[in-house]
Amino acid sequence: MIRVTNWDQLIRDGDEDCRAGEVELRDIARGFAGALFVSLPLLFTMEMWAVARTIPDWVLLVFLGVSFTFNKLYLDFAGFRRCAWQRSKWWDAVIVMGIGVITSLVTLVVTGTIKPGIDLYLGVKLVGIETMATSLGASVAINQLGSGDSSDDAKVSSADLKVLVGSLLGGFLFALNIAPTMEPKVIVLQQNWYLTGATLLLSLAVSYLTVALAAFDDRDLSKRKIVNSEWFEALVAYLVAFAISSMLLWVFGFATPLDPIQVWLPQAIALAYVTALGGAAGRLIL
Amino acid sequence: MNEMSEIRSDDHEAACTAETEQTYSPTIAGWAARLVSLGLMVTLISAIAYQAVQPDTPVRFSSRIQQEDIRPNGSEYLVPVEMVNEGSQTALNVKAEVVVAGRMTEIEIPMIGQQEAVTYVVTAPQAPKSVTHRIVSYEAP
Repeated sequence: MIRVTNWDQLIRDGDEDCRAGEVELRDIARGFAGALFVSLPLLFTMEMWAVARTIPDWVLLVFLGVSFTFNKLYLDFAGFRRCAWQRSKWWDAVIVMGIGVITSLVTLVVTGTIKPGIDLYLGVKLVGIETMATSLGASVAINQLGSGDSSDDAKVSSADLKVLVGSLLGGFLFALNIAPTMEPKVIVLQQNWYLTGATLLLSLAVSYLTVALAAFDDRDLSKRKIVNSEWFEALVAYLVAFAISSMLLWVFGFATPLDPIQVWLPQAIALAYVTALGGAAGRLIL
Repeated sequence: MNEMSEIRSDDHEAACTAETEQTYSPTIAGWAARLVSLGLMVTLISAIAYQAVQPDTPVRFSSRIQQEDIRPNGSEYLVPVEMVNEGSQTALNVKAEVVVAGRMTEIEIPMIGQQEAVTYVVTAPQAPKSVTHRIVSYEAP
């Protein structure tokens, strides 16, 4: 049975009672704002337009599926609603994907990237690749632009799991801005193996510094059973960052672990520097 | 009345706390957002999946002159030549030679996707009726 909340039903939105219809529209508007705020740079990035022309169809489909799942996770901890007045986060994940499609399509059209004579399939792939980023922006809108969030702290019962989830979500969000670009590859061409090793150590150090040393917030490691030291947390977080970097390099066609190790490993380490920092921010926020 | 307001206020506060079980269904706008978003995603994924199961065709170029846009430039003519990639794969760093009214011009196309058209303007001694091209090289996808 389909249930519909009356438009005039009063809902708590922040500190005031508002009509449910108005809150709904406001939530969706927040989603659009978050989508653009986080992902407009990627809509203006030529490498993303190029990736749309080269990414294999099945990779794009898989990554859209991964994005949908990540969006659901982001909605668990941030979201576009100030108050969690609707239960289904999976439906909200569908909505942020829709917001992502519309935001991407409108921006690509007004910037002339999608022109009237463009091949339909190419246009679809352009929208698809950009939707990954714009939908992600919509799913963290409140966290990026507002105060409070519709997260439910009870969902992550394990303190150890929070380390993994924070590293995963924060790292993915941050690295997505860099992963499509040529710069990690260019950086690797400028490096030798000593600099690559130094990058790896720097990534660990930055992750440790940001979370443990800088002490942005009080941390209680006694609740953890496995990841119960700062250095071990930095190591685990780096491994998550490395995995995310490898996945992003594969999606954007730069390298896979099936390539020679001299090709993919330095690129993964270079990008993991970015991902590790994003993961550190994710762990601070969670 | 005041008690009712308090009860209502409590209900609304309850809707915003993590511990409450009381949540609301979407409004009409919310349902519209759900259905439109679902429709867009199904369309997007179906279009990509449909293309994914089509057989691959190799990179193949066609060229034509945009007759309506030819314009004189001093004693010569500026001739727009449209190159189309009729294959299903993207070609990178394409080098081609186009011959217009007997004059050969080299062109380079950094990237051209499936069914994508790129227009180059070349000079010709007279207004041509046709164009031929020769692909010198391109980077395979």
